[in-house]
Amino acid sequence: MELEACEDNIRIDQYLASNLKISRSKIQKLIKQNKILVNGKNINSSYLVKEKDSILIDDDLDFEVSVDKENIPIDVVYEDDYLLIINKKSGMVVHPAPGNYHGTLVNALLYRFSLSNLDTVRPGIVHRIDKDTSGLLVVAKDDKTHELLSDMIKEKKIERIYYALVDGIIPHETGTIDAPIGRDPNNREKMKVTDINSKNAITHFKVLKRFPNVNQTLIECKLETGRTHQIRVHMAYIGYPIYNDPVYGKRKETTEFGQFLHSKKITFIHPITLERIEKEVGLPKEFQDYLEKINIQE
Amino acid sequence: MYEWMVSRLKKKILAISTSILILDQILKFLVTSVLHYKETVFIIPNFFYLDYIKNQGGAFSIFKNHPLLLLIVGMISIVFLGYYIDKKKNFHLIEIIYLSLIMGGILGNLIDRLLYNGVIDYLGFIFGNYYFPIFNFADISIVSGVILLFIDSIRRDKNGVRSM
Repeated sequence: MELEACEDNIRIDQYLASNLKISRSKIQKLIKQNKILVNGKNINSSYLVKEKDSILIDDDLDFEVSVDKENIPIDVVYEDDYLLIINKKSGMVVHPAPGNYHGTLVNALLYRFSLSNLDTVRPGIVHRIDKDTSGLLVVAKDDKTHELLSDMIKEKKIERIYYALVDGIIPHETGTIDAPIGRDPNNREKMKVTDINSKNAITHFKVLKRFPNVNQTLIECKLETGRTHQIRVHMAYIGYPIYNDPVYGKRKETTEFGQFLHSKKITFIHPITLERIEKEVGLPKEFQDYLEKINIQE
Repeated sequence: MYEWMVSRLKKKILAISTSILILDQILKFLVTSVLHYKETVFIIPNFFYLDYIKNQGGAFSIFKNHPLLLLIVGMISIVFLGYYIDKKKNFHLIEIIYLSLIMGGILGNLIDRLLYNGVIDYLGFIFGNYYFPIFNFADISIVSGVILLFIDSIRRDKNGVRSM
């Protein structure tokens, strides 16, 4: 099986063990037998995985993960022979991962479409948005398109605009947060702004509306990089965490809806038809309802 | 036919094959110097693109894991073709054309296998959502040569004349 790493700076044995639900010792054994190659090369167990590393496991493993097709409703905003644009609901996980092999966007997609297969566990997925983030996501239907879209993401040729509601009143009209993001050494599930094992991350934001009555600000964000949890970490870092964010938020109590963050607009040149694709979707109902509520209170 | 005429035709085959070989290598040189490895550039949206790749297999990537085998097969083909042309006493125009096309094409790809351990391919076509395997100018040359050879042999069979 073949997969593409989507995390950074984790030991490969640890990464594979948690991603494939098999023991670390089994992984280490396979590495010793040179049955695990990274970017076509032999590595040892302490190798630190880099994002986009292609990991090849040459073994008829009994753990070959099969991703089930599931008939789950999804909102397809755009479709052609090569790619899809999906408007993901908040709460839906993008792809299967340990402890979560069902109900993901990939399960739903496989039911309706054939997807690129460069990665067995994450077919079609060229970029991700968090579980509780809603909005637009591009999915590749074939391997060539997958490669081309991945390159475009790396070269920042896919522009995404997010809407976020943050706690606190941002006094500035616009701003840029340029602070490196890495894994939080104290909590593997969390990311943080840090100098250690981090990668540069840049977020631009623009204030759309302030709500002094509830002490919140609606902003628009544009990403120059695409680190895990980037907007959430960056906004929390400057003291305006995203409202209702269970991990980086200010408040202890959050609702199931999760962070008020929505990937609203996506613009790019189609890698194969070379047409300009520009798609925009409205905010999810919960987000919209909440905005209307605080608007009336004002 | 006179000896000197036959040898002139053989020289013609050599000249055409060499031109095809040179043209093929020039095109490959251009592709490798303009594009990065695995870079894709669309020329006609939705239909034709350039994509610089190295193919270790044969046509349609067959015998992908046996580069040496393919190298040997290529060399044997060249030796066989050379021997065939050398022994042949008479040439029709169509024979000159297809023999040159096949020779030049095989040589073009053989050089790649010797120099880069794989063939440089760059022509990509999409039909709907089917991606035709990426190929190169030498492939076109070989395939056209083989098609001409078939046409010629069918025509000869119809006329009741056996080739060679």
